[in-house]
Amino acid sequence: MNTLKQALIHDCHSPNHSRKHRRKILGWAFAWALSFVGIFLGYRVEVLDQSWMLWTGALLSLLFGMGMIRSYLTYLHHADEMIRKIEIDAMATAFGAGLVGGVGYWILQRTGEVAYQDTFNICLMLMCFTYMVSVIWGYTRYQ
Amino acid sequence: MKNRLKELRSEKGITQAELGQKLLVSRQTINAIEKGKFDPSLPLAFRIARLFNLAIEDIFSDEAP
Repeated sequence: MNTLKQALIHDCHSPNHSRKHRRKILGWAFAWALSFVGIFLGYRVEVLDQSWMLWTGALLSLLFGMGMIRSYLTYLHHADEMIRKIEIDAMATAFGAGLVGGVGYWILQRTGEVAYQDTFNICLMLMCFTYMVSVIWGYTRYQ
Repeated sequence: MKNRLKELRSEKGITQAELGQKLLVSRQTINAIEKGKFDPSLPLAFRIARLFNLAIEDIFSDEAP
């Protein structure tokens, strides 16, 4: 029984299991991004011109987003403790950078110092960039 | 945190990957612990101590590596 338990636990920490989880996260993230872009483009070209269509699209996007979050949490739960630390550090850095950078940019935009209006896009790009850099830095640091 | 993991592993004649398998962590984690770059959690420190039949303080000390 103990051997079976150990084998199951080991499988959770194995590179194959991690790869499987990463593929799942990527799948959900792709579906979420596609739904997000789909709604935006559909609205722009007036394909989604009914209110119920936009609500359905938004709900679908929300569901894909929730699937992405859930699969990421499952991945973190089963990840090796060093990888979990790298990921959590990267998420914290990205969140902080997004919040601080986003508010800073919003102030500049409100005072008319910068012309580009979309603070949300800037915030999103900043978070993605900081997350990627932090993950790479984390793996390099522990090598 | 300083540790004797590399020394103990060499005495047993096992690779980092094999030790990682026994301790349910990746080879990278073993490598980072040996180099003193990553401090293991308490459950992992207990698993390491149990594997080598030693007390935690016989393997880890709170000096800088």
